[in-house]
Amino acid sequence: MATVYEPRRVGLADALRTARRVADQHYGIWSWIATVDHKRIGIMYGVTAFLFFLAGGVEALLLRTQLIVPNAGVLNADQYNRILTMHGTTMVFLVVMPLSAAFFNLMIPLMIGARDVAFPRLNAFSYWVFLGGGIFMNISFFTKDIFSGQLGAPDCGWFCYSTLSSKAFSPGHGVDFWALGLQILGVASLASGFNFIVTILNMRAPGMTLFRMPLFVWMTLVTSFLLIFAMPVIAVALFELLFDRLFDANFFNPDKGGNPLLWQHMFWLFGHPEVYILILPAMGIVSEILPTFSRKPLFGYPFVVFSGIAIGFMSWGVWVHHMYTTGLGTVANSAFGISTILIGVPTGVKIFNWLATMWGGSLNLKAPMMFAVGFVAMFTIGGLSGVTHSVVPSDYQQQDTYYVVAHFHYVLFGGSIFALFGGVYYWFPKFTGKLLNDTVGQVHFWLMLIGFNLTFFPMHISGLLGMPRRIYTYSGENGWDLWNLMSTIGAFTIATSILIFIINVVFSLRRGEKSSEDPWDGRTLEWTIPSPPPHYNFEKIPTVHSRDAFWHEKYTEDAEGRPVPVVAGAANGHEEEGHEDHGGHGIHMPSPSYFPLLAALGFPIMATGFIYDFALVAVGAAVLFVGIYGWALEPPAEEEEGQA
Amino acid sequence: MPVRKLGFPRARTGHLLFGLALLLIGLLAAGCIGDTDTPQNTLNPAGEVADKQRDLFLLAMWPALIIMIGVLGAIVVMLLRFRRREGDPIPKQTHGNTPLEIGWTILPALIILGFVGVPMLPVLFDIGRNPSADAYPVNVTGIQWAWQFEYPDVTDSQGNPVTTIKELHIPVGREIALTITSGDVNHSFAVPRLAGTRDAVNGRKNVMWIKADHPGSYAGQCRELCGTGHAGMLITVIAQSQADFDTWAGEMAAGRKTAPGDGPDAVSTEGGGE
Repeated sequence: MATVYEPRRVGLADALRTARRVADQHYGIWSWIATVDHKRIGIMYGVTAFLFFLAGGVEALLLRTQLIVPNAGVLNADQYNRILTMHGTTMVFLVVMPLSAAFFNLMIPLMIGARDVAFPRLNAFSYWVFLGGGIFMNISFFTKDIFSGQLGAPDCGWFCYSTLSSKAFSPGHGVDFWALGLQILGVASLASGFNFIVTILNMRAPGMTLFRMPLFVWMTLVTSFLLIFAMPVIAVALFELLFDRLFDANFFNPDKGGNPLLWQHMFWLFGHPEVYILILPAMGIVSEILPTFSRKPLFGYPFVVFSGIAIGFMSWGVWVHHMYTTGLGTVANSAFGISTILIGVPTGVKIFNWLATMWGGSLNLKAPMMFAVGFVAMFTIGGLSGVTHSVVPSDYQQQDTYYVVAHFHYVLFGGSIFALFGGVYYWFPKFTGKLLNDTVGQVHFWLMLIGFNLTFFPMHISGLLGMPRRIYTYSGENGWDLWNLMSTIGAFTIATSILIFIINVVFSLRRGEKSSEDPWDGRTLEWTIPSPPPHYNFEKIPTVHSRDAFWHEKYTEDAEGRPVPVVAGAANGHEEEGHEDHGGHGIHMPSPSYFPLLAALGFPIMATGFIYDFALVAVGAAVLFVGIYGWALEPPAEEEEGQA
Repeated sequence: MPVRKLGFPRARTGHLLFGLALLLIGLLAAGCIGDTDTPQNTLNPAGEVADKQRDLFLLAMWPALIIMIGVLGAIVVMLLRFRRREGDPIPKQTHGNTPLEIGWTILPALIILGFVGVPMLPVLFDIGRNPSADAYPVNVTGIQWAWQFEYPDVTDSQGNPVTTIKELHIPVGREIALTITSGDVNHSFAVPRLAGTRDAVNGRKNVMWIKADHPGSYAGQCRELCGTGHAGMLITVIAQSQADFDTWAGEMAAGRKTAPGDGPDAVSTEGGGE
């Protein structure tokens, strides 16, 4: 790895000056638009995804308000179906995935001791494509007369089953916006998947072997591989859907010999790895928080790594459990039932390892830790209800009931969202230099935990009482009213907790407690550098000697093997490296570029063209072409002048 | 590190409250699922298929609940017992324990396969088998937004099979062979007290058998999002003794009786649509 950072004969002070000059080239809004800095891109990912989270949350509240009592009249069936579709699509593709991407961006270079990702401009491109796709999809709301209650959003559910998704049964442009929007988002995911694979494999600091990588880096690597294999599958499915809708093709049209189930196979062949794309980054975050706040290393690091990899592989072999009731036959159902049971095993291993990490530790119950522990608890419940789904014959009863809704919200909200909030509380000080207020954080946590359970636990019961998903209203005689009332109250409790979080962020940014560079007694490299980190991250690329590299710089063992702090000034590995040559490395930072934004702009223009006027497709393609052309021919950074 | 005694006196009320809340929800849940009166209760079977499905669900649910209480309990205990206090030493840096971890990989796999994986297979093949030769046939078609039932064995004066909408009549105690399909988009046929759901897919014929133990009326509804009328796509199964059923079938064949739901209002167009 050392060759990547080939030493040049440049004074450190000079090198830093150059790096700062590159960073200061632009001020204000332009500095964000043209940025290729992974930290800024990460922040933009996070803020954008959080705004979409609020939108998806408002959609959820509308749905829950409509279901608060039987036969309520808040939304009609058409509005309900459209908002339902956008809630699911938004939360999966515009919230959990990009929030995870935000953490990839923010953390991966810092955790592996790099100055940026492998392809900084591609990284900016990912973000702008994601933003364009998200806005494009949401614009569909306004393609009808929204002020008279006509929503133009897609109405086929986030899974958009054929033949409901066909032009005959979903006229209007909603489904086109959905399919083209997802197609655009897929480009962003692919670009970022490749970027992080290359970054993690090639940009690690000297000494950071694969098995010294922090667990979050491992989970990012697995997730990135899943992304690059899963996104093409949905892309193919979406292309076929678009051919059917735009050009009267017959991929899914049963009247012309097409097969509606083909869509389901492709959607879930993508969709199940997707579930793990949503949860593995969260598992990575929790695997960072628990050791730090327990003051113990992760218990059984290799087991946690390999169970993550095993989940990645096995996630390709369980898709039919979304399709048990489509009539694929008992042998197919048994095989996929067994594979579904088995994928629970590596997941269980992780839970046991997290518990063992906490066992015997010294638990610092600050907000990040509470969210991480909340994740383990809620994810356990979601995992167990998942195991009950693997029992095929009994799943015939729960299929498409609220029991399923309860299950995947325990996994994706109780799991992913809790962990992501944990990550926000944990790493917020690193990027802002301010700590989030812990007391308010505790209130946020408890309110969200209570609201979450109040919302989703009763759904197990309404589901077992036979309540189907996606119905906009129900009759009072089914015995579902109490459970729905509880769920709705819970949803508003969650909303309140999110407001508290927003207040906490605003307040803490303005007058929060200043954070040191290592506020939590961290174990990994990101805590060795200032908060917020300088543009170039590391003045000198660190040399890594062990897993939990920073911990081993701070603590050593006494004669009896008890951990004790390193005496100040005592020699240890890292310091020794630092002494050899102060003049070591030039700092090469990529220059800002607006070409990624320009190229990304091409996609929504092309997509709009497919819906309204094919001439626009050519315009969009031209924009994309010019963007990529300019990008390719852009001169490299002029860091040479700093070396004079 | 020296093992501390359980620190209950220093417990945070929040943890206890959370535990209590969970317990309360659990009790409420147990109470209300036992409430056998709700018409679509999956845990109150009235037929052989639903009965087997309920038993399998409980077989998986009880161990799941026990593990859940175990894990959540362990978490609460750890939060109380290992909470950092002023002057705590740095804990011993344990990196893992391979035999232990191999154990908790293999053991759960064996338990779960033994507990649910193996027992589910015979049931799966029994529920999924072809209907027996003397099963009473009914063709079920989902359309936007109603269920249509065709009885090939009951023909009117012109020799056409009679049909009912929304209401499915079946004889009690006899296997019914349902052939389920769709006339447009995907639907899913579910009458939870008799059997779990089966999808109605355009261009496919899904066969399943059901059997009602007692005469009565059993509610169900469409389970797959099928457009604006999805919530109104209800099913009522009327199970009658063979004699009553034959009488009904005779009247239908003679055209002396029309099923409720027939006529121009039969198909719900609720919700407006595009």
